[in-house]
Amino acid sequence: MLKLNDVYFNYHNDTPRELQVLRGVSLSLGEGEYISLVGNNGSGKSTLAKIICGLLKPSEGTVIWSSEESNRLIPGHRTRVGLILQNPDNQIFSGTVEEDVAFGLENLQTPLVEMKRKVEDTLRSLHLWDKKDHPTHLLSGGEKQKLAIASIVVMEPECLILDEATVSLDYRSKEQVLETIMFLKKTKRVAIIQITSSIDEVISSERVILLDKGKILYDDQVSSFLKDSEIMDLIGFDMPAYVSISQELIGRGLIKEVCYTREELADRLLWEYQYRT
Amino acid sequence: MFQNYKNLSGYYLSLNSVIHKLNPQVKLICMILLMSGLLINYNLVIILMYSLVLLPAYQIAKIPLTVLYNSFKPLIWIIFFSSVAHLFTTPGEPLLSIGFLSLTVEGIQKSLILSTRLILIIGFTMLTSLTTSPVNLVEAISSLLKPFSWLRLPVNQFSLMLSLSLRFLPVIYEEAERIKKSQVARGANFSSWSLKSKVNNVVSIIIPMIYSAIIRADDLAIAMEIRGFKIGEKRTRLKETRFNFIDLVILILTIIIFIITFFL
Ligand SMILES: Nc1ncnc2c1ncn2[C@@H]1O[C@H](COP(=O)(O)OP(=O)(O)OP(=O)(O)O)[C@@H](O)[C@H]1O
Ligand SMILES: [Mg+2]
Repeated sequence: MLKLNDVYFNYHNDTPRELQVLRGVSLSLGEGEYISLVGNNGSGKSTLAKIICGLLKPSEGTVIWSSEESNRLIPGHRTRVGLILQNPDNQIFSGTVEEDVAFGLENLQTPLVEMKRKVEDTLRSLHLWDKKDHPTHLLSGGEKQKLAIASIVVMEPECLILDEATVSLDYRSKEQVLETIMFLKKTKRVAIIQITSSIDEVISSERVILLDKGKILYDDQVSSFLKDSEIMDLIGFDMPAYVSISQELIGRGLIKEVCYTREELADRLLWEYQYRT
Repeated sequence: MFQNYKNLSGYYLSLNSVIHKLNPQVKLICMILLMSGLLINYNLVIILMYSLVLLPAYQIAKIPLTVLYNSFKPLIWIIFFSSVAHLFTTPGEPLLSIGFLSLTVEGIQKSLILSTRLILIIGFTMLTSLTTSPVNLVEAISSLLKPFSWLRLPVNQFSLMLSLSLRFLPVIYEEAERIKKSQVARGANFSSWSLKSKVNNVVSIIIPMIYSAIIRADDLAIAMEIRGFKIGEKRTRLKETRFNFIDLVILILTIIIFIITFFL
């Protein structure tokens, strides 16, 4: 769906303050993929996100969208990539929920009938419909971030990037956002890139890309990432509790495979128990 | 130090009434006409006539008069002093003399009329902002300013700025509160009356607010661009404002009142 070829990026290009942030990033992204982008502060994650969105142009290298897909797009009637930032307050422009979701479509000059339908569909599918006339400044943090996502989703992006979008949210709101992401991935085949420093969020994704000083140092399945303690150490991730517990259990011969979530571990133990008795 | 923004005078009260549903442009024009009428000419009859417009209007809009009264509170001294000044400085039949000051019948009349006029003017302004959502109000203002874009004045930018400011009023208010709390936690004393600590306190709030405003502006620009916003570009609207029969009636009535003002 999307390919980055050897992308370089400098801030303040061709000035004495030139700062090289991306140094030869290549990656490809498929429909409905769910990726975690991790890396230390200043490694260039946000910059990469802006490159993918087209907010910044690479100093060198190319960003290519697969061509057959671009044919079915009506130019100007949707965005390809949506970007969600950390603070939802800075991404909401209107007084009510419904108006804010419509904001992007208004900019794309969507005809009224179509706009109404899309706004309603989006709000209903994200369970925000009964809040449509709610003043935006009275929503909870999680609801605000969900609204920010809804406002992007209504524009039918192929890819959604969340730049530390859940950092300021409490546990329940994080769950809400995660549910929303999973829903989009499954029903709309939206590719998700989440920039995160939380191991719990990494576990829910499928693939991990580790950016280090502007280079991709690691790009593999989540399951292999979680077993790689060297890489995990590099960015200061702790081994998630269920992984270390299951490694301990493997060591004692109780189970045979690493489990990543509570449910998985419980199921595995139950299965072993029933199998043995 | 910061007033609660929800109690800021003139904050929108979302109710369901005929006046709430009026076309915002019509409402704005009516307000301007009524205010100019009051400024152009005044006497007892005119004041009575305008009061007979204002009071039922509040009734119809379902806004309790206490809301109106609350918004006068900060102005009560101004009204008081200006009426006292008129009481004693208007020439005419003296009722009572204290030294060189004399209380006159004309003075009583004039001070009553002038303070009522001030109350009426504020009343009409309040009615408009209480019954029109900020977004609609801004749109009405910018559509009335449209002709000026002919003169190459940045009307679009101005109305965008206005609507964003209104949108971020509550956000900025909350932020100020948060910063204030964290400064108190660091030992700032906001109840002190000394000028020096007052200045210090204001600075300790303003600086972090400027910092976060810059970050906010950066985020805003990104978020708007992502959602396809381009300044001055054509947009469609989810909620078109319509012009109904009732708008026409209200507009005509207001124009009649405005014209009558000249002959009273
Ligand atoms: N607008 C800008 N102008 C100049 N330099 C910038 C700009 N934005 C970021 N940088 C610099 O580019 C480098 C990478 O920044 P970036 O925001 O992409 O990192 P990041 O991985 O997102 O970090 P974090 O985890 O802190 O969000 C940093 O050294 C930063 O100082
Ligand atoms: Mg970042």
